Amino acid sequence: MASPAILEAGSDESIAARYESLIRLADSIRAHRAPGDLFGVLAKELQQIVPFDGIAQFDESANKIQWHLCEECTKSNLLQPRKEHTVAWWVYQNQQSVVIHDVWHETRFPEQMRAVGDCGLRSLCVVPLTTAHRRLGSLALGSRAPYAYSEEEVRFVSLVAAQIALAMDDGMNSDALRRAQERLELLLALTNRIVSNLDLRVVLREISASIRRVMQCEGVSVVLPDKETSSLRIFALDIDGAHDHIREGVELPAAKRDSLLEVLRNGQPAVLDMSGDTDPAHHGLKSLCYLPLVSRERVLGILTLASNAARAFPPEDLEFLRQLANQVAIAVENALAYGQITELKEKLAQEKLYLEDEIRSELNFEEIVGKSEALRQVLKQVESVAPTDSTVLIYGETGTGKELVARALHNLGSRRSSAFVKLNCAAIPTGLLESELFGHEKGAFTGAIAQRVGRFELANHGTVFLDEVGEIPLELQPKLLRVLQEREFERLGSSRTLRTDARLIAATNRDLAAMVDENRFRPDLYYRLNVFPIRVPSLRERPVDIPLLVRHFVQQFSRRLSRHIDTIPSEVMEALVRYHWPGNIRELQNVLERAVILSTGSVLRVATDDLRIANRGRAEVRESAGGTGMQSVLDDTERQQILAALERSNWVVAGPNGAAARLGMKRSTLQSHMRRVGISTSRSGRLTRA
Amino acid sequence: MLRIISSRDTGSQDWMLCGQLAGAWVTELHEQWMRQRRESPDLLRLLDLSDVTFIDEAGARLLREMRSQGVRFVAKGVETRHLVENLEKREKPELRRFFGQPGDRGC
Repeated sequence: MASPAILEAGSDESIAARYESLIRLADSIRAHRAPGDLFGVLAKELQQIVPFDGIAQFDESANKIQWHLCEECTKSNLLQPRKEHTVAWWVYQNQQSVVIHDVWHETRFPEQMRAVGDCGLRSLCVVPLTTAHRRLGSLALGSRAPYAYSEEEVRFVSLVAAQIALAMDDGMNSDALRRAQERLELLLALTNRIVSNLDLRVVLREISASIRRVMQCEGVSVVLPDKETSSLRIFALDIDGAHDHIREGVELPAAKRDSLLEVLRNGQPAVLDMSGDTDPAHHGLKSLCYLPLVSRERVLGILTLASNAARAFPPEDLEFLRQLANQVAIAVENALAYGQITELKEKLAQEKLYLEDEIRSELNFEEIVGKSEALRQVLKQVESVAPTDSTVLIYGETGTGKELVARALHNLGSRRSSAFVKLNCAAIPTGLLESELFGHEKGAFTGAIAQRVGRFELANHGTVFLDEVGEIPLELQPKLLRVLQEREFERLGSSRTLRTDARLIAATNRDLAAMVDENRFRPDLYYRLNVFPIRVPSLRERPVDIPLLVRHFVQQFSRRLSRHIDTIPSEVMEALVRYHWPGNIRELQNVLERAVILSTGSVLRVATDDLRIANRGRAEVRESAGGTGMQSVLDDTERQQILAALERSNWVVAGPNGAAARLGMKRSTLQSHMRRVGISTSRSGRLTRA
Repeated sequence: MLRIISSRDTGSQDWMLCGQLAGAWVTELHEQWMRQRRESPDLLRLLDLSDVTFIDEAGARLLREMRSQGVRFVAKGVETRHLVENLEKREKPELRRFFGQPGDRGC
């Protein structure tokens, strides 16, 4: 029924009133962009100037017709099932207005006309809702009176429809902008979370929650392949409500696995429409979207989105979802790489500990035993200087335990938790020594196939122990001095200056002061090294320590070699104490190891005759020297001993059967002694008797 | 590293030490022994040192104290046996130091 306020059509008042109403309507429309509110306001304003008893909108985006004011129409859900047979759809398609003066006499759209008539409406006016940019749908007015809409009224309704279309378009643009902004914010938030957190599960949970909020879906999860079981597992999940079979850590059932595996295989997203699905296990989910997590052409996993709405993931959203998946893929890849790095780091640390332990337990003793005053003095010095960062120079004959003293200095100091890096300067070919000390860059010299970190760099915050420091060639000594003074150096082949905070402990069995006099060692380096000299006494200077050392080594070797030695005969102990031990503790160790191996019972057997002969030889030498030219006599004896050892070892210096091992000293030490007593090697490297 | 393995008999307990009785492990053994004494004095009867790889000066002092409280020792190896047999000697104690990292050389 028409409103009583409606003026007579065609009159001047009526036209003025209508256009006034149109202006008011336009204001109201601008103020109410949400379609629900808009049609409420529209009905109120429009009813004053145009006769209608029902108003309907065909919404193209929702693909449905929605009636307002007409209760019968709303209840019967008019025109919904077959939109193609409706006048609203025809108007939308053809963009032309249609007026139906009497539905009972209208031959077009019979199905709809019958339904409209059944609801009590007699005439209809339907106009397109269109802007210059897009078609939005159509607007229908229905009246219970026949012939309710004149041409003029249709024109007026068309103007109103244009205003409505503009407002709707504006609202849609505004919605699109808001959505785009939300999505950009989501991408930014994802990036921030990805770069600020390396715990993959935490990152993915946060990401999933954000995606769910912005995409307005019911569940988001990240599915990753489980390498161990070759299955797919839900790694992170954010879902609305409780679901028994969908939770983090569960393996996906075979039915779901197939479509996910397909996405994993081809790297393309998949959208599943489950509108017709009645399986209660799916909890009413109507849309699923599977997005591959692709990074560097490798599919790492799948981002899945689930919605209770049908067609929730339209094709136009897929590009944005792909961008989301790319961000998630970065997070997954970062976390996987971080996991691998952490795992390798832990493995390296464990290997380092194991190897350090292996080196110590197999090759070195870390205990100091004795009771001589000379040893007490050394330990007192060690305990005094260890807590400082001072450079220490350890003097002593070969085999006296200089390295043990160096380790004691390191372990008693503040650097004990960092590395103790050892380098035997005599054991490294001169040409490689600089590279060993300071490192080199790839390609620094022919053969430098990879970058190498030097010992000073390795020992940063720790200790560098340079054994046999007297063997460092003169040309390298300034660089060592610079590290000591400036703590700076460059890798070979690099101009980049590196800094190190390594403490230096050096050791030598050479007389460095004499080498300085002979211009074989730089005085400035000598003074820099000689800040705190510690002299380790030879074993013959502290014979009271020998019984303790013998018992210590015999027990250690018995354990290692599975022997059960429980007696050391007194004559054996006396012979060991009397022997002059030129190779010092190392020689004692070797003699005792051999003795433990050769002792078959519980009594230690030592070839004491060998020790007596050696002692007698020394005594005879001393007598024949008659107190004059003692050094040359001693040198001659040493020369004879070295030559004898070389003969026995077939002139092999190094190795377990070499002359060095037979004499209980290091190869480099033997070579040094050989040079001193005039036994040299030929240019071809073969040994010759001088 | 030091491991203390205890075995309970009727009315008493035997302990077996495994590893180094040196550095921080001496304190650990001392604390364990004190706790055990508080709970039931005279319970610890025997300390087996057969698997001890090194005893430092503090370790030797603790063994002397334990012996004075009635604990008997089982020792194997020429060094450990000599040390145990001479715990009460009044001469200047031997220098016995371990300079490895804590945790080195377990049994």
